[in-house]
Amino acid sequence: MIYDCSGCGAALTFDPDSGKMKCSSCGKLYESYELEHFNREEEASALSGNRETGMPDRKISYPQGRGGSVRENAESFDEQMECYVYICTACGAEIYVNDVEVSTFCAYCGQPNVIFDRAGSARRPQYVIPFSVSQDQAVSLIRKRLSKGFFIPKEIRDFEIERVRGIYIPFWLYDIHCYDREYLKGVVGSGKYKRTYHYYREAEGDFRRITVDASIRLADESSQRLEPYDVSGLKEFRMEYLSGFYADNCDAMASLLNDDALYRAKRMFEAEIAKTVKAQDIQIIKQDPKHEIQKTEYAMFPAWFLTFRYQELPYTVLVNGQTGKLVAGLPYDKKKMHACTGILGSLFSVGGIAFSYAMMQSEGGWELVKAIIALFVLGAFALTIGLPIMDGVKTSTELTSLAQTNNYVKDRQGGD
Amino acid sequence: MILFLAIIFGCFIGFAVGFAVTAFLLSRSNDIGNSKGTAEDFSDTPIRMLDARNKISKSPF
Repeated sequence: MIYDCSGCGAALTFDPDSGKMKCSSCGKLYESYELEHFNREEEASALSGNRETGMPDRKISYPQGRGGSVRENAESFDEQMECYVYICTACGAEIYVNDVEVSTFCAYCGQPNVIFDRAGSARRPQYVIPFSVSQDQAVSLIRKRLSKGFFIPKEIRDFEIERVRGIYIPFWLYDIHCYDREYLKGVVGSGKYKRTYHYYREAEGDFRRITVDASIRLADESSQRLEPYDVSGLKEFRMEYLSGFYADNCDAMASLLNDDALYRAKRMFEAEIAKTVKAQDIQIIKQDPKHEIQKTEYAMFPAWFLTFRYQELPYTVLVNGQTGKLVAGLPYDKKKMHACTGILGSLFSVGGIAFSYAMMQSEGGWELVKAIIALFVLGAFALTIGLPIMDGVKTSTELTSLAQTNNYVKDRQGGD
Repeated sequence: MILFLAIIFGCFIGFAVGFAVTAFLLSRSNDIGNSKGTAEDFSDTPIRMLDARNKISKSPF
């Protein structure tokens, strides 16, 4: 379905700034109810124009990852994926849509098309969080944040955008009731006063709308980092919210993701119980969890995907389309990193040498050995703090340059 | 001998601490938005305690 401006006839798209539909040509704003009167409900018709059913007439296949390159005689079935062919109502071009895309753009004229009949009743989302952050705001947020990063290479700070996509990501929302009784142990005190105690906790609780990404193509780690979404901003699903953005329908049904949702609830519930135990190194010895899914809802959440290249590798920065939260792990300037370590290391070494010398001033041999062991433990402790942090940075960088995320953005109509 | 050992261990501690501080600064600079939704995001009161016993000697179940 394409929403047209009643004044000039150009396509309407959802405007995050005003929360209304906006004409891409004359800028006129429309409320949702106004569209009921004069939108042109003209399905992007199939090749032979089956306008009664609204379903595409010709279903063809093309090799995965080949975009619009159509091959009707692909070598093997495994290399193929299903897609539908629509005709753009603005310019007449053929649009190829994969299995899960419900909203896309014409690759030729840029007309936003909402593929109405792909969001059938079975998969129609119940809710949507509309975009609140516009494309300009998203780009500005990224530029502003990147300019603050001391270790971010200059080439990345002055990045050239390869592509920006506003995409509605499908999510399942789970209401889960949790109950657990746990027998735990924890450590209290330190040194010679260190003691291990045992505890018992029995608790219940309810989590509402735990989000689980319903798209197989997007890494769960990426979608979870976009959290939290403010679910008080959920609106009843209406097709016009999709206009002007890309959107995927779910390709992982709720039943397939039940275990993921339950596992997530279990981990969060256990962490909450552990908070009530005043001890360290808390471990669960025995437990009897009973977690139950009470309700499942289907919703679409907004996100901006911005891709740029650095040293021939694509990096995709994500922006929560509702809150503006940025998600990115960026490569660092190695020279700056080494210089910083060297300068700080030298400074701390001066203090370290004085401290070590003072500790070793004891006369007894045994005291000296104890001092050496203590100093070694101190250094090792500092390393055990630094190494996991570095590991976390590396993981985030790998996630940002993940081909899976890049392809999630790239494999869309209207691509560059 | 003591001075030599003090230099060795002093540098080890100094560079280990320097590395830890640099890693922290690096994560602040380059690792953006590395957080996920927590229990508080999905519930105002995540747990209601039904029974809590401390310093017990054996499992009650």
